[in-house]
Amino acid sequence: MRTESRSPILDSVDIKHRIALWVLVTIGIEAALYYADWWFEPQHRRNLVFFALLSLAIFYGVYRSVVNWFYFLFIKGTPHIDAPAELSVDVFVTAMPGEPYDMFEKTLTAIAAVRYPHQSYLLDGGNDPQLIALCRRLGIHHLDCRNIKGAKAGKVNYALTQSTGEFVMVIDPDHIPEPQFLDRVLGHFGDPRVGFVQVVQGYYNQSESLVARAGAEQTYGFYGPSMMGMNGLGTTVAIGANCTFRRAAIESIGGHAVDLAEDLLTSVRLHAKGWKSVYVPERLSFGLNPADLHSYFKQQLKWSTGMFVVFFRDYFRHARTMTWNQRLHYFFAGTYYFDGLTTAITCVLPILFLYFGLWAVEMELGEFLLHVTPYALLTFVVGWFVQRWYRHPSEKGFLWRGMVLKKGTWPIFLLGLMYCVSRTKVPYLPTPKTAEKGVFTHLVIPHLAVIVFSASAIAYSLLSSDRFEVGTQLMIFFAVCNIVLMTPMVFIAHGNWFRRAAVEPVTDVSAEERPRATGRREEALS
Amino acid sequence: MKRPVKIAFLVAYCVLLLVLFKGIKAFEGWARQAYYSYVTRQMVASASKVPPDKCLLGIYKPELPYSFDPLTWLEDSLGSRFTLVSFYQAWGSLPEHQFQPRLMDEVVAHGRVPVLTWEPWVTGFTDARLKPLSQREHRYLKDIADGAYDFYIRDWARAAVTWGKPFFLRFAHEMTNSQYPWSPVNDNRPEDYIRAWWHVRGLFDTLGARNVIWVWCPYTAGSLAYYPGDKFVDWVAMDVFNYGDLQAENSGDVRWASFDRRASSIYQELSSLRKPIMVAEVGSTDMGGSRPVWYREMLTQVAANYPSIKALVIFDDPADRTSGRWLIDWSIEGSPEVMAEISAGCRDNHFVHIPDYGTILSKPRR
Repeated sequence: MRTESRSPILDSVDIKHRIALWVLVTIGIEAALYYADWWFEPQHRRNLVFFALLSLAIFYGVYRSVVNWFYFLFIKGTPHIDAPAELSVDVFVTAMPGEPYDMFEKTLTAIAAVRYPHQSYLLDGGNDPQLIALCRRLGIHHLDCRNIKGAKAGKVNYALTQSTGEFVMVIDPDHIPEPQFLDRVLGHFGDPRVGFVQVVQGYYNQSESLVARAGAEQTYGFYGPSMMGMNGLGTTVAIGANCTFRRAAIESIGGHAVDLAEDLLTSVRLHAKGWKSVYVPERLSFGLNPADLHSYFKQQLKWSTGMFVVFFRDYFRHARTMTWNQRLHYFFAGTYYFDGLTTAITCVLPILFLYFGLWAVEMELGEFLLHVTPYALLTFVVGWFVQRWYRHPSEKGFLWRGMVLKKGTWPIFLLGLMYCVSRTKVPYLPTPKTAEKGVFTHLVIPHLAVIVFSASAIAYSLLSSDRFEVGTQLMIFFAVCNIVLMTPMVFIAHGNWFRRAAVEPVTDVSAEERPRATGRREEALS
Repeated sequence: MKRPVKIAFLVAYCVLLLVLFKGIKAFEGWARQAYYSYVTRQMVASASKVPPDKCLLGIYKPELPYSFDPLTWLEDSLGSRFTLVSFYQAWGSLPEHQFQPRLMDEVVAHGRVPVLTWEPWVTGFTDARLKPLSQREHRYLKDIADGAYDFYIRDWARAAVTWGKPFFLRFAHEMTNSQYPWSPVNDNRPEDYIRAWWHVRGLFDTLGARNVIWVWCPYTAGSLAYYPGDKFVDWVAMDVFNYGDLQAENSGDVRWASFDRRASSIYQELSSLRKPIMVAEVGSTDMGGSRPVWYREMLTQVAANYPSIKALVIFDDPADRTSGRWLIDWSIEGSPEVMAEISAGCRDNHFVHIPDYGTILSKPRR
């Protein structure tokens, strides 16, 4: 499962593919322009406020596509550099009370088996005697972190004072590194300006549930073409786990950032300090994705709130000392979760129109489809084309699960924005480590509301025929799209209804056997 | 890359994007135009029952429809046949103002379809219920719309429905030509015209008229304010005359002007209605240019650039007084050169004669 052979495209990108990509992206931009040029024609505007809102929502999506395309244009592989001998390396793993012992046994065994000589540290927030014994058996330093504030980053900073290695690799407890991990990474620190090196995070629980599969699908593009594009732009970001830092770099920014989005903030600070980063697009460790909707939403709430906070609080301060590419990149990243707000707008406006005649736009459905189709087609074509840079053949295909889950997480992203704006303190949520097997109706109340209100609004407009004006068909079309997009979430939330018979006999056992993933922020940036 | 190179590249790429976009918009415009004209062609062909890229020929001759001998002679010389036969009738109280089934039968018997221009003159009525002559013409389209002339229209319509065969009815043509009393010269307004049209057509429709093909014929471009609406009009029409030097004395307009020059702007407007277009009167004088060339050019231009024109009615009047001051000779028989050009032009397979056109028209319409 986890043996990874090097693929030749890591080292260089075929010029044919690069030209094809430029051509496709150029056509895509033309298609987006064609769509926008038509959308903003004055005769389409009705109520100016609603028009502005709907345009914002629609063209936010276009903006995200163009941002993705922008990254793809700069896709760059990373030729391997052999790791020099006798570098001093520390490996940090954090443990929180309540996390399953099994998981640590697997992870720590794998860390001990990493070939390049290194010192490993378990940063134990619970000072668990079982873990102490495990560490002693595997030759891993055990640090008692019971009194350390600041969750993971706090422990990492404490561990930095207790260790001396020139390089520090931070890995999450659910992640199992490959033996060659450090050999593939350390050579890139030969450039003294390189502050950190990030690698791909793979997952091994895709088959556990639809949510786990969908979550993994969301990362395929990110760790493939998107991060490779960032690599080309010099904006590779640190993801909470599997990142190897230069101690001098971390110390130059006063230690690992302590924040909800601590990995992102650490990247921002390191880049603002002038450190470079390298992406090694190799699957060198494999972890877990949240496997149920509740855990997934918790993870996404943490990421989205954290991302907004970093964007509004830190971005503009640090952008001054960044390169242009980095300024752009962190702007793109910081605006990623506005998707929640824009999806909410596109869900609500058709309902308002169909019930109350509050027009945002008046367009013929046929004309709309004519102008949106080239753009929609090109997003798919480009998305398909860049699959050649996905990290593993098994990742390719039509990744509808990831898209559906992403679209369906809009209430969480919106909540994250509201938390950020209202400065509500979100605790660093300890993501549950035990499987939640409930039926999550309460999590999809917004989705159900959209479905019910959209459907009734459609029925209402169809039954009151005098309201059938030119733009009505378009609004019905939008409402139908929203219903189609939201319905899968309802099924996902009630997945256990359909699987109850299979699940019940083994409930207790499997609950212990399944470790949960803690959060990472990867697809947030795609 | 150095920074200036990057900036230059960025600028060049943006320029490329813009140029491409302009190209795409131009292509879109072309494609839309092509699609629009395709659809128009199909609609026009289906509404007129004349195949796409074909045009019927028609003729106005003062002898018609009383005598068909001159027509036979003309057709034999030209080597083409005229499907439509045009003649005129005024409103009034005399027997000649009534619907004339015998004349209509004559046209049909010769295998032609009548194009009847029905002119709402109102001074020819002797009915006592009407306003006195001195006031009768003031804004009288409103009176028509209000039913003052129903006594006449109903009789006429009933006779037309009883007769029952399809014919073109060009009612109240050239509604802005000040020589006609139904023009604004009597303070008639566009809304009066439209209401009068609706009213008259309504009387026919009430009687169940299915054989009447309604032809709306404005005088100049810019007359869409008088258009009664798609539901009330079957064909639209235009009259195209080249007065040559006489034109200058009339209006100070250009003197000699080709068909294209006279027709293109009104055609643009009419073709946007996606109705079949009839050139209900067409002719040229010889004052100031070459008549044969004018007719030749007209036929090639119609065939090439006027796909919505589905009927071309040649105005073949040797002694036209309607322009007021002069007696104008529009006739084509007098000039062998003109006859030769028309003969050659009509042999273009764009211009056709449909011998059973009347039968085709009498099949139920959509």
